[in-house]
Parts: sequence; C-alpha cells; structure tokens
Amino acid sequence: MGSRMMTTTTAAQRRSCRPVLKTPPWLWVWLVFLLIGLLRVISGIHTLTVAIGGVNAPAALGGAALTMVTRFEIIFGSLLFVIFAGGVVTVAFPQVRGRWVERRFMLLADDRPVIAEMQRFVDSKDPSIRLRVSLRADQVARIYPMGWRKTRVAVFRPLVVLWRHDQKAAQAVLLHEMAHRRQGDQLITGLGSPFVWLVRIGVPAYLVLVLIPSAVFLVAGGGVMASFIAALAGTLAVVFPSLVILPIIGLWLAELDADQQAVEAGGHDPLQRALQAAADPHAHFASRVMALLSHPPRRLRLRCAVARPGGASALRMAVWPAAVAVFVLVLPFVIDAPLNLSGQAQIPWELYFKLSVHVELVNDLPLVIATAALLLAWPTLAGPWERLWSSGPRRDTHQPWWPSLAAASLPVGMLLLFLAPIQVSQQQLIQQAGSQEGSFAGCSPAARWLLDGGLNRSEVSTEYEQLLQADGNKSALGAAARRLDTAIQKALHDPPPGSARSVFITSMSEYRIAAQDMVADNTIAADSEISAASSSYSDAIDRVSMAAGSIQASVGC
Amino acid sequence: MDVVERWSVRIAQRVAPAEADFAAEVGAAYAAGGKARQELWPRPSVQPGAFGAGTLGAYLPFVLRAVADAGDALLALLGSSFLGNGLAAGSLIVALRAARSAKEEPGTPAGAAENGPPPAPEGQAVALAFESLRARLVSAGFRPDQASELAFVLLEELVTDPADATLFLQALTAVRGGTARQVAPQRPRGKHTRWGPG
Repeated sequence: MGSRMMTTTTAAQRRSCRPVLKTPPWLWVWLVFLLIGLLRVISGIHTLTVAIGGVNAPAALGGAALTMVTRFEIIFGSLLFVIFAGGVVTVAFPQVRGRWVERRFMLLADDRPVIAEMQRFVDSKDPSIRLRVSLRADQVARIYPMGWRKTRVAVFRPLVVLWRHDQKAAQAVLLHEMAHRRQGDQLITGLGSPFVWLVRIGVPAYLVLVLIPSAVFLVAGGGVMASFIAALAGTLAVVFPSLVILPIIGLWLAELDADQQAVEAGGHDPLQRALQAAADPHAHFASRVMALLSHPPRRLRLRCAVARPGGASALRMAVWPAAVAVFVLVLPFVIDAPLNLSGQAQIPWELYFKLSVHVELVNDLPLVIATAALLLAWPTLAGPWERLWSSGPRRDTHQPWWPSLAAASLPVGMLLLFLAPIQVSQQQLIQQAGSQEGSFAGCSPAARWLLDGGLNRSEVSTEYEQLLQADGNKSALGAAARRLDTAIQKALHDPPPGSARSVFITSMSEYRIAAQDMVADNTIAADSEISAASSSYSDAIDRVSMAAGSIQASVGC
Repeated sequence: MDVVERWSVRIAQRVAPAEADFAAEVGAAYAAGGKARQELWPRPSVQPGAFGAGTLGAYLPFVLRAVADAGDALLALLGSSFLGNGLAAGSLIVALRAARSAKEEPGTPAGAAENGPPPAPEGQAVALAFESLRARLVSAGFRPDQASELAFVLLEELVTDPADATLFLQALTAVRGGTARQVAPQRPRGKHTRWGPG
C-alpha cells in the first residue's frame, strides 16, 4: 500500500514536471511570407488595373465578359490587400490596435472583488498581464496587445458568471488566453486581429466578387468565352482556399497549443467544462462554419484536452509541414485541373507533372526551407522564444527532440525531391508536345493561332496607350508613334487566319492613321479613327474565337 | 446607485446570483436602451474567441426585458390600494402559489380550483401580473416551470416596496425597443455545470 501510494505520487510529480509540447509559432512564419507576398499582390493589382483601364481593354482581354470578371477580381484583391496592410500595421504598432480594441469593446479597468480575485489568479501566473472588463455578452475572454511586450486580457460578462458558477473552469479560460502570450500569438491573433478578418471576410467576399460573377457570365454567355470563364471560375474556386489553408492551420494549432498549456497548468476537467459551458446550442450553421475558419471544432478540442495527450501532441507537430506539402505539391495540380480538362493547357499530363513539381518547389522553396529549419531548431529555440514575449515566472520550456525531428522529415523530403534530376526545360516540353501524334494536327488554324499566343503577341493596344499618354509632349509623341508603327508591323506579320484576317488588317491600318492624326495634333480625327480601330479589332478577335470553335474541340491540340 | 441599478442588483441576487456582480451596470444599460441595451444580449460575434459565450451571462437581461414587457400589468398591481399593506400583498402571492400548486398536483379533482368562489379583485390583479410576467418569461425562452418560479420570486420582490418598484418599472420602460436574438437560457449540457437561480 505504501509503495503504491509512493508510486502514484511520483507519477503525479512527473506529470506536473513534464514540459508542455508546443508547436513552433507557425503564424509568424505565415506572416513573414505574407509580407513577401504583399509585394506580388501590389504588382499584380497594378498590372491588372493598367490592363483593364485601357480603351482597348475588352478587345485585348478577349471580351467584355472577361473584363467584368477581371474587374471584380481586382476589387477582391484590393479588399484583401487592405486587410493585409491593416494587419501588418497592427503588428508593427500594437498600441494602435490595443487602443482601438478598448474603445470598440468598451473595456475598462475594474476593481470590484470578483475582478480583483481574477487579477490575483492571473498575477500568480504572469503579473505583467492586466485585465480589462466589458459588459458585452458575445465573448468570454480574449487576449490583445497594448505594446510589443505589453498584453491585456479582455474579460467579458460571461466569464464573470462562469467564475461564480465554476471558478476552475473560468481559470482554465484565463490560462488558455495567457498561454497565447507565451507564443507571441496576441500580435497576430486575439481580439481585434485583422488577420482573422482576412479569413472571415475574405470567404464571403470571394463568393460575392469572384465566384458568383463568374457563374453568372458562364450562364449568360456562350461559346468560347463561356468555356474559358468556366475554367477560370473552377481555377479560382481552388486558388482562394489554397491561400487560406496555411493561416487556418496556423490558427488551429495556436488554439490547440493554448488548450494544452491550460490543461497542464489546471487539469483537463476544468478546460473541458469551460468548453462545454460556453457552447451555444442555438448557433446557426453558418456561424459554426465561419467559426471554423479561426478555431478548431469543439469536439476536436475536447478530445485533445486530455490528461495524457501523448502521441496527439507529437502529431500536432506534423500538421503544419503536412499542410505545406499539400499547399506546395497537391493544390497546384488541383488548381490547374479545370484548365487541363477544358483543354486550355498545351502540355500533356505526365510532362506537365514533371515540370510543375519542380516549378512549385522552386516557387515555394523558402517556405519549405523555413519549415524544415524551424522544426529542426525548435527544441533549442522554444525557451528563448517564450522569454521574448513573456515576463512571467520561468517555466521548464524544454522540448523533446523526437517530435520535431519526425515532423521535419516531411519538408526535408520535399527538399530532397527538389534536388532530384527531374528538371525539364520548357523548350523540351514544347518540342516533345509538338512531336506527339495528333498534338496539333487536330487543331483548326484559328485555334492554333490562339493557342500559339497570337493574341498575346499583339502589342498594338499597349503601344497605343503609350501614345495617348505622350499626348502634349511632341518628342515623346514621335517616339511613341514610331513604337506603335513597329508593333503594327509585327502584328501584320502574323495576322489571324480566315475571315478575321482582313478585319484585323483593317484595324491595324486604322490604328496607323489614328497615330498619324495624333502626331499631327488632329485630335478629333484621331478619336474617330481609334473608335473604328477598336471596333475592327474586337470584331477580328470575335471572328477568330468563333472559328476556333469550343475549347473541347481543340483538346486534340 | 439609482433606482434601476438598485433593483437590478436586488433582482439578480434573487434570481441570478452569479450575475449580481455587474447587475447594476446591466440594469443601467438596459434602461438606457439603444446600443447599450443591444450589447447585453449574447449573439454570434464577428470575431468569436476560443470560447463562445453560449448562454453564459444571458439570464439577467432576459429577466429585465420580461419585467419591462409586463410593465403595464405590474404597474397596475403595484399601484393598487391593497398593496399598502405589504403583508397582505405577500400573502396574496403565497395564496396564488398554493392555488397553482394544488391545480398542478396529480390527484387533485379536476375543476376543484375553479369550483371555489370567484377571486377577489386584488387576487385577480396578482394573477394577471403573474400570468403576464410568466408569459413574457416563457417567450424569452425559459422553461414553463422555470418561468413560473421566476415570476413568483419577482413578484414577491417587487411587492416588498411597491413605491420604489413603481419608480424602477417606470425607468426601465422609459425607452422602448431594442431587439435580441431569442436564446433559451436552458440548462447547459455537462454534468459539472450548475445553473439556475439560487
């Protein structure tokens, strides 16, 4: 009996001394790559805006329908950019966010006895965290930053009620919020975080601004453009999820980590009671789905919040690298599947696969390297990372090596794949595609002209835009007119076939005359000529598109 | 502390002790109406935290709203002359409670309560106030048995000081409007969680 009691006590002591297995701060990794991606977003939006802003934009882009769809995409991209930028500002200036949060949620300091009790509990864990109180009843407790290392926890009325009903459960909630601070999560997530808005607003915005307009034009339009828009919509339906998969995984892991730390500090039962007490049985389905964009499902959390998580914690280590593998290697193929099925792609599947694996790894190499490096270094970095954010009492932050090493095998494997000799040059692919039986034999001349990039080679509309911008500056006007003439000559070397040819040639002549009128300062005549040229050009593109037939008929190309 | 705050605390201490800490502020916000009142209700947040609020902290605002909505019947009761004697008023409520219990007890002959002498005007006023309050509590989402018990407790509390309670009701109902999603404050799942008044 005595020895059994001693064994039980020793086991309990061992559990209390066992460090909590934490995942690396993946949200910060995502933030860094988000910043890099912002530059590409800015560039992309600028390019698209210029492209659709021109007089000849509908013709250049292949029709009014596609122009409209593209315009909605720009609005959507701009909305995401604004939220991104707001998030970056709040990370750089957390005081701004903190003050906004306190104003928005009417958070005030409070010294009544129940709050003083809560504050004493928080002080026993981390005396630098202060509580602020709100009368609102739509939340329980949330952490938010007031500076780089200054953090507060917003206490809402429901937590006070829970404190009176079940103090241990309420303490578990506070322990969960304090755990976020040790990872530096409060700067990225928490109360008032724009990054959470990114996901929760982005999804409805995507449906309204991208998917639905694409579907409308698919239904309302017809012919070649309808097929192309259908393929584009199918592509976009997968592109957006690929952008949010990593932040959602990062958010889920942060929540599960915080739960685990609350369990280690206060036991699993109080946290489970807190999760059950705070559940809303009347929540709408849409609310539940939207909540999943930032938090794991409650059932998963209840399952993970057990006294001896064992392998579950180690498994959490592998979630992020697995998500990166899906993001890098799986989603791109799913994204391009609609294009391939519609016949837009020129390259046979097996060759496409070889090239794309390499291309995707090149594009996302920094992300894969960062994931591998952080996993390998995490057992060493975990302690300093926590001390960077938390000034609370020192804890044992030692992390075992084996879960990190096991999880790192995935990104390391991807890096080895990158080094494998699977590189295939673009030229080899085109030659190989061209040599295959029936590769272009089944194409109509018009389809071949389109697929061969005939439309893209026409730089006439771009050069005409430059000419318009040079109006008023005689020397620049002359240079622009010469460049336009060169572009016209180039376009005339490879006009579209069939009935589109004569109309195309006519439009080039009209462009040339319009340019001459511009140089001669004959604006009225130039305007008239450019209208005629645009009309002829659009007519030519429509004719060649009709002649190309449906994209499915060109699948043999 | 003004009359609304005072009575909100009294009501919370009787029916929702866990919400008594902020009862004064909740009452003041309710009486203020508008956005202050709207923010008292639990609702899905645009940015939900790790723990949804569920129905925690929702008891008192619903009780105050039921009291406000039954204001006419309650004011009629509180303004009646027989309430000058608090003991008489309290005994009327006890009698009403007993009559209801007898009516609901199994084995009571059907129609036994209805076959007695017609209720006196003061009894009618109490019964009307009770039914009005109970109906509002049921429509707020309370179970019928919970609503009955709450209505009795609230009436007992209000009649202890009719004059002050009248001022409270007038202040509470001064600003109308303010909607809230109906959330039934039912007993949450989970054997470890206690709920309910007292």
